[in-house]
Amino acid sequence: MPQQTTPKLTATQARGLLRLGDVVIPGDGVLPPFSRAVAATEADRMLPYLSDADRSSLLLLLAVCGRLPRPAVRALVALAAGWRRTPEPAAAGLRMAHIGIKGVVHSLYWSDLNRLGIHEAIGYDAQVDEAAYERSLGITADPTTEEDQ
Amino acid sequence: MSERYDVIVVGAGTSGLNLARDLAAGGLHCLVLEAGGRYDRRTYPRTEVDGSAQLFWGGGLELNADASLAILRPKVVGGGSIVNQALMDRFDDVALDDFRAASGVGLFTEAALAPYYGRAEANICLQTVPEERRNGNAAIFAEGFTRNGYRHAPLRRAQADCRFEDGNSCVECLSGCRIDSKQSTAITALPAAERDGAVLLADVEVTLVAERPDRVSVTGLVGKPGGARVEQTWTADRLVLAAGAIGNSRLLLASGFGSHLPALGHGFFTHPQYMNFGVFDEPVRAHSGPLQNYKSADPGFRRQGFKLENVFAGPSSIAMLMPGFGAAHLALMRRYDHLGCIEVCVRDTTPGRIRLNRKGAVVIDKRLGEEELRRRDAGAAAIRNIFLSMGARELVEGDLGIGLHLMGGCAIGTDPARSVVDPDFTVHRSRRIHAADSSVFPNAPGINPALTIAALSIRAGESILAAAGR
Ligand SMILES: Cc1cc2nc3c(=O)[nH]c(=O)nc-3n(C[C@H](O)[C@H](O)[C@H](O)COP(=O)(O)OP(=O)(O)OC[C@H]3O[C@@H](n4cnc5c(N)ncnc54)[C@H](O)[C@@H]3O)c2cc1C
Repeated sequence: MPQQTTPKLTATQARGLLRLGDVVIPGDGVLPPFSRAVAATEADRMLPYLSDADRSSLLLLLAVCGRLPRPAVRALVALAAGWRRTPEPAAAGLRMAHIGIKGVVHSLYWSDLNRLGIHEAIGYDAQVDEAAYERSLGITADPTTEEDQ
Repeated sequence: MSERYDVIVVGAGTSGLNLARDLAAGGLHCLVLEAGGRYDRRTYPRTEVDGSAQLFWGGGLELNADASLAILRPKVVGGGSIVNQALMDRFDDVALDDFRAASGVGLFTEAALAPYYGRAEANICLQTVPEERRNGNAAIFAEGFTRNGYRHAPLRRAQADCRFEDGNSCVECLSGCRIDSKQSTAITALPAAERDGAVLLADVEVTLVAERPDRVSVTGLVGKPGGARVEQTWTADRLVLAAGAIGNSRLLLASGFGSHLPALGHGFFTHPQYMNFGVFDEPVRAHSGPLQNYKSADPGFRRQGFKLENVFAGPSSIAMLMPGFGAAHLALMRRYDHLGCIEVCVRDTTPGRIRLNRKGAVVIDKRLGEEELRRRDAGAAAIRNIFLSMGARELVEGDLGIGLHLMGGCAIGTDPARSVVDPDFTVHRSRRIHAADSSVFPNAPGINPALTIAALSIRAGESILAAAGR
């Protein structure tokens, strides 16, 4: 049985992701643009879970964006987002690209992986108080373990 | 060759673990194989990106063939019961009459199903979502319904104690409940099954099943995503397919059952859902506290083939659903906590089809017909009325249809030409292969499916134990 290797973005694909991300999320006075909020290597955490076909398509798209000038990346994103103006079945291909682009960019950015205050800026403060729950079970936190983490 | 089991259950979701519990309690030596990982309240993914990637097939989303629907298919021990909203509804007469008409199966009456619903309900804690804890989104829903003369009802949820007094928000538990309140099968059925000797193997993707005169064999790939995977085969007297609508069809098709089961993969439904937003001047904070309080209970809506629920999601998911990109999209996201959100859930009537392409990958042919589009638009119109009557400054229609209630492909029925599973939950022309999960639904009920899947699984457990001589 062949050993699978954990997939990672190449430098070109990483550049493509950041370019794509900045078109989708350019930032404003408060929220940073995609490339300042997300390290391209963070996409590596998603790659093993994608199907082979989706991963290949995504990596191809990112590689293409890594080689295109920014205005061309913008045109590509706009084309995909404008699928409603395109007749079927071509629209289906654009929808697929649109969903793929949004899926990767938005899930990385809005997860606020680097705690840059993205959640605070949009008022997202949902939490689950696990410590209170554990106290209710009579489980007390081990201070040494907490410090280690 | 590994140990021989009485029964192998493929898929540790809503159906699979209900069945594993009952079959193990009935004395069968039971092996459960699950493609997803096994987590608990301390280990569930903590971010939306990891939750999507680690708990769903395809790393988050799968698409139908024309990319008009984003399909969310759970892949985790506990299946849908880990990531779902745990809303528990019995079917009404409309749904049961349609099931009976399509399948010819007498079980689909309120009276015949009542004992199984009762047992399914007794296995979990059920609560009406507390109205005193409702957030601004639920308040908009309730008041907007009243202003428009629509009828609504409180939701019943499988939850033990969400400890809202601690400031908890159920939106965080869409990637698994971190305080074991949500009554997933992983914390309700699985511990009981394991106490009775059932063995669960996670991270095993079953690829092939075969039935011989004296046994079934099941082959799968063992290993976590991104790592090496090793092929292994197990044998048993019986096989329960509980891999969900897409999983069961995929497995039977890949194993060559399509040649003698003409209905296999046909009749696939998803209850397409569309989230629509109202932007309000005051904060709505739809993410805080209970995620949902109400559903529509309007006979007019039921007749028209849709229902509405107040619902919301984390920032990544909402960003996905918001149309557009760039500055305009970002400006909407800046109003995240000012968004009201109501979803229209369509009772779909155009059957889809699950098939395999030449590479053996699943293809989902599922189109929205004129009727579904009409239903979606009728629901969206009602949502507009609600938001406008409540003073929304702007209305935004979600960009994407979502398929969460994946049903059919192995319909139950008396006619082998039009169904896959017989009224005793055994695959037609098989003596050893059974199924009772969402794949057996003969059409779309237009009602949350999980409680009925649990009830059918309990009923199927009786048949399987009887067939096994217990
Ligand atoms: C986000 C979300 C919210 C929802 N909210 C609600 C709700 O509030 N109320 C409600 O009633 N319903 C809800 N649902 C739907 C409900 O969860 C499902 O209908 C139900 O869980 C289906 O049960 P099942 O047993 O058929 O499949 P599942 O529970 O999905 O279990 C199938 C399992 O089989 C595994 N599997 C598949 N293929 C293989 C294979 N080849 N090898 C090994 N394992 C395999 C899968 O990984 C999965 O864990 C929701 C679903 C989602 C996704």
